[in-house]
Amino acid sequence: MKEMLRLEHVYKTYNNTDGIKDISFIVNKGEFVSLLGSSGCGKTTTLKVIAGLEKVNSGKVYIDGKDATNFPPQKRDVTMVFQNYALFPHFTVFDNIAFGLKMRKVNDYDIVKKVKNIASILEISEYLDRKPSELSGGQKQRVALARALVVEPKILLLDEPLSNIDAVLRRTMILELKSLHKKLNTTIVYVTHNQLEAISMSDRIIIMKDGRIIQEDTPEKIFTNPKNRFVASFIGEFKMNFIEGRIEERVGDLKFVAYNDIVLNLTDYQKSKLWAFKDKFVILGIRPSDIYIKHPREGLLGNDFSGVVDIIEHFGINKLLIVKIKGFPITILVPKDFNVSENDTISFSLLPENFYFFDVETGENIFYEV
Amino acid sequence: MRLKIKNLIINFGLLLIIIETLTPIYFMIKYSISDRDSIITGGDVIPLWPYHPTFMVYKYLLSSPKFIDVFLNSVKVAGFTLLFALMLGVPMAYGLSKIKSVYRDFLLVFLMSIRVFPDIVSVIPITEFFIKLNLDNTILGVSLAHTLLALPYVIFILLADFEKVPPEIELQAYNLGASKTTTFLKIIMPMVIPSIIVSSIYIFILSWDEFIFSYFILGYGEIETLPVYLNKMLSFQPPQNILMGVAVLLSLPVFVFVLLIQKRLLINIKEGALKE
Ligand SMILES: Nc1ncnc2c1ncn2[C@@H]1O[C@H](COP(=O)(O)OP(=O)(O)O)[C@@H](O)[C@H]1O
Ligand SMILES: [Mg+2]
Repeated sequence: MKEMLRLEHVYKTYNNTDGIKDISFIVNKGEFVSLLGSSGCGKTTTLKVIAGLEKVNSGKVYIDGKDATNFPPQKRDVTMVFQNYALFPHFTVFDNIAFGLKMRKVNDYDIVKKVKNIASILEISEYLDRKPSELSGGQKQRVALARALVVEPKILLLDEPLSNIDAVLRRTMILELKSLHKKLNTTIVYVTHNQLEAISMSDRIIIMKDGRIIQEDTPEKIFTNPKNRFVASFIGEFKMNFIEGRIEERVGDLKFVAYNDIVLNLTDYQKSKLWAFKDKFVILGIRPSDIYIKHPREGLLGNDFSGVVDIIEHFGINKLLIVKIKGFPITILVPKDFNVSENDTISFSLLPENFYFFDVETGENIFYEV
Repeated sequence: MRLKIKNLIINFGLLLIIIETLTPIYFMIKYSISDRDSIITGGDVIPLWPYHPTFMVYKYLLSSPKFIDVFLNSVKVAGFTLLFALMLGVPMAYGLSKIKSVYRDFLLVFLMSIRVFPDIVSVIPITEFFIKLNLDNTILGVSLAHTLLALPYVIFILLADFEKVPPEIELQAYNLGASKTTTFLKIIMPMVIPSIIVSSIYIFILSWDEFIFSYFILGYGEIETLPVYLNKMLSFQPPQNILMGVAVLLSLPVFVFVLLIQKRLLINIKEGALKE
């Protein structure tokens, strides 16, 4: 695999604090990499640094093998789609898309050909004569995308392209972006605060927080092997349950014990590592989707509980139950057609193989595999 | 019911504005085409419209080489002022819009300082300065003085518009390969056209009827602009119809100018209103 982009210890701070710190990562040719993090964590700054629109304080940016740290934006052959699309309001859609080609001194014949081609791929051919103000949000976004793609850049930078789009259209656009990436095989750095977008499109996800990279991995690995509690709660459509408790020895066996005498069995592997935490507090995490609902006549599986359903929330094909066990609320994900109503009592099992453990102080995943 | 009253008040207001605007125009035009009998009636009531309307005054003025000369001077001065004020004001406003620190406010106050004092105060040092530079008694000198007066306003009008341009638009142009110059000329400038139009009207009108600076800088030389000429004429107590003829011709370019761009201006005002 050929390396297309490499950032080495890049710092770009505003007022000495905000901005990005020590950012290093590599993107290979044709890869789709997402920068994921909540608002203000430095995602846009990272893109601007790659595009040369912000100068780094220190560190290096390599594009296609060349040290581009001091290249002006015009020389980088990297195009960016801004979050607000930044369409030129006084240009028609055609002129907007053609702008990059004109700057590259492409001849008129090829400009028309290329603009028409990309417009048909993005299904905006019929709007070429319109002004941006006459387009819907979704259409504007396609124009911005076409304008960035038509010059066949080395790297395409997308800054939260789907954030201004409603949920239904977002689903379709995720699929379209994916197939567009497959078709054009462009190297893409995609910025989002939406973990679903990142998980469903990326080859790799880079999680950022407060200007730093927290974890970088494939979507699957980030889901199953979160580096710390922050990543664990950020990734996953439904927020992980966190329970603080102590690791205690009970009749020669190691258990997790939470406030109201919730005593949980652990796997042998977990025990082997958690001996070091004996009599110490840890945070146990379990995803709402990992909690096993038992049939009424099913036998004991270990870590069996029954609790009263407090609240039911509906989420498309799923619903989320908030169940109290010994006064402690825990969320459980069940299929939409699972027959339950509020105030029912249900039985479920917290299977130890689905547990995550985090250090109380640092929040690090005790079982993180590098 | 409430709506009707509101409409009534608005319409009444509009009517007042129209009357207020049209009354002086009416008097100017009426007197300028009045025959002698309609002005000096010997005690009779002055008629609302002249008994025998005549364009004699205009024929006289437009065939007077002195008047033509003065009129052209005013056109030249206004033209140069327009050119200088835009050439300086547009880049200055753009530059200021890029400054994010407190220096900007300092510079703005500094720019405004020329208009903080009454013209009659600032005109003396400026005239003295212009005399030193041998700019007194020249079209260029008056134009530069007018530019000085117009600049603060031009900058204020344009600055507001430049600041409205989202920074991403500019970054996007660089990102797509445009140089700074191209970005400014092709992307940023067209986005502030409404303000450039408004500024142009303002500059033109300011220069066209500016008196104090023109009067001091031109002194008693042979170059005169229309307001200076009008002032000199007054001291000869000319007939009222000739005076009003000059006044009409003085206002004419302003009308023409506004008429020419009013359509464009209206579109911009409407677009602006819709944008909010
Ligand atoms: N031009 C700027 N001047 C000062 N602070 C900035 C500037 N741009 C971004 N920041 C700050 O840097 C941090 C990261 O911003 P940004 O990269 O836009 O975050 P994100 O895109 O992840 O929401 C934020 O705290 C933001 O306020
Ligand atoms: Mg951002």
